[in-house]
Amino acid sequence: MSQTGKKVTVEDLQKLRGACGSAGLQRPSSIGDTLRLRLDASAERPARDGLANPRAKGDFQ
Amino acid sequence: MVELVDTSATEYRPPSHHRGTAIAAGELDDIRRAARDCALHRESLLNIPLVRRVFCDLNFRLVERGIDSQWSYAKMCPISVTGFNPFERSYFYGTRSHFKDWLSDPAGSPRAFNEGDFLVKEVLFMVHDYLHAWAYLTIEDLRPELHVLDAPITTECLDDLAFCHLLTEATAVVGLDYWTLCCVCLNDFCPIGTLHGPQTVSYQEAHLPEYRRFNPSFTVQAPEFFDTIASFYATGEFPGFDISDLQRSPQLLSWLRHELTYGSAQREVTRRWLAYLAKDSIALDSKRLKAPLAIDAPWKQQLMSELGARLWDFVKSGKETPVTALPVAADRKASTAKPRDWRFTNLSVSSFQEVDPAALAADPDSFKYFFGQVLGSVPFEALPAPLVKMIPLMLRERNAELVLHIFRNVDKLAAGAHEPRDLMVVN
Repeated sequence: MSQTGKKVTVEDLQKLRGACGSAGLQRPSSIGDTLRLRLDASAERPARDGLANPRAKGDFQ
Repeated sequence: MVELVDTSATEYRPPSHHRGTAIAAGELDDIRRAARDCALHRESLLNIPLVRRVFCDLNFRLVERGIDSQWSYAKMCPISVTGFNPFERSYFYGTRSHFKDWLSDPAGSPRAFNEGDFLVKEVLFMVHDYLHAWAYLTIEDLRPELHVLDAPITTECLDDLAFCHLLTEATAVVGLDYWTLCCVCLNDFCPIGTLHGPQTVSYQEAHLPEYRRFNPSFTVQAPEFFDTIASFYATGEFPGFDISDLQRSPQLLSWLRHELTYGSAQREVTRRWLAYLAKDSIALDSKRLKAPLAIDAPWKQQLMSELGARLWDFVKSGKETPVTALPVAADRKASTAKPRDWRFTNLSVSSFQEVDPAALAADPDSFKYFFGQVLGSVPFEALPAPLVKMIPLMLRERNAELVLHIFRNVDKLAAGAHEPRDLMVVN
């Protein structure tokens, strides 16, 4: 497919300026960080009308 | 090229049942059969040819799970926990989801079910997951001697099976994103005001002249491009460009940065998943999980080429080489004797006794998916506000005993009748 002989890898991204920021490898998002940011809005979570609310059964059911 | 469906000669008739209400058990198959030939509303998502073919293929199951997707829609849980298992040949959707509501009238306009554009995303991932399953069947058809669906997973064959799985990932990404969604606007098929384009890639066909400044022969819309992506997933090396090119072109950087970071996780997740399904323990350290896969064997080169050609025919011209719809791969089930890994074990069909708090405390990634599954199983509005406020604490502490104690009296959604135990929840 390639006639150029060139190649690039994920490790090469570290050579970019700001490699740990917007131009390079992204720090994986943290579920905790995201949730903390969203918590204040959670008090006004919209309800999903018209849906049943099945009772639990068993451990996770 | 993909053709638009002309629905001008037909007239859509709404279903006899109330739209948005749950359909009766067994009725879904009838709806899917009827969708092959029925008149469609001009705005129906089934006007997208690939969506209609997937939706009408009854060999691919649509399986309901005891999950409230509102946690994901509201970004309270940034990971989707509906899960995926290519060996189950199914798309899994939440019992509370836009997708579930849409099933009541897929031939009609989806606007009422597409608030926030979440339905379109779910439907597109149905196609993505279908292409995974399609690829496995096609590999089985092309190379039956590999027994890709039922060969025992051992240390010796792990990388060959990982290679095959990566081919199925390439099939889903190239078939749906590069060869379909990068070429069309969904609103041309069904004018519903969706903002969705490619789901997993940042490539833009309009930027092709810019990409070709650095690689004049570069072509995506050709069967050979499948080899490029499949080889890249296996080796980690993307051919045709170098870092100097990326430094000089924001458009090229935007596309390949996404592709390189997305692709780098594929080998690790794939090996971890297959090792989880293996009957015997397979030791995999971090280096081994991420190591490149060799692709120089002639059978691998040939398989890539043949699978890419079939995918091109399937996606671009609707031609399909018939393959036998084999039973769901019964041999691809994790041993219940092995430790649970909540990246891959479905919590909805598990018991408290299967949760190992000590193991979860030592594995932050597994805990993240354990907790995401706990949250997803709770009706969104049912979690009391004081418990919502405790979510950060529970995440910080990584104490599974604490989580189980807190959630012990909270309502949970019932598991679906056909939920599997093994699921790739990790994403």
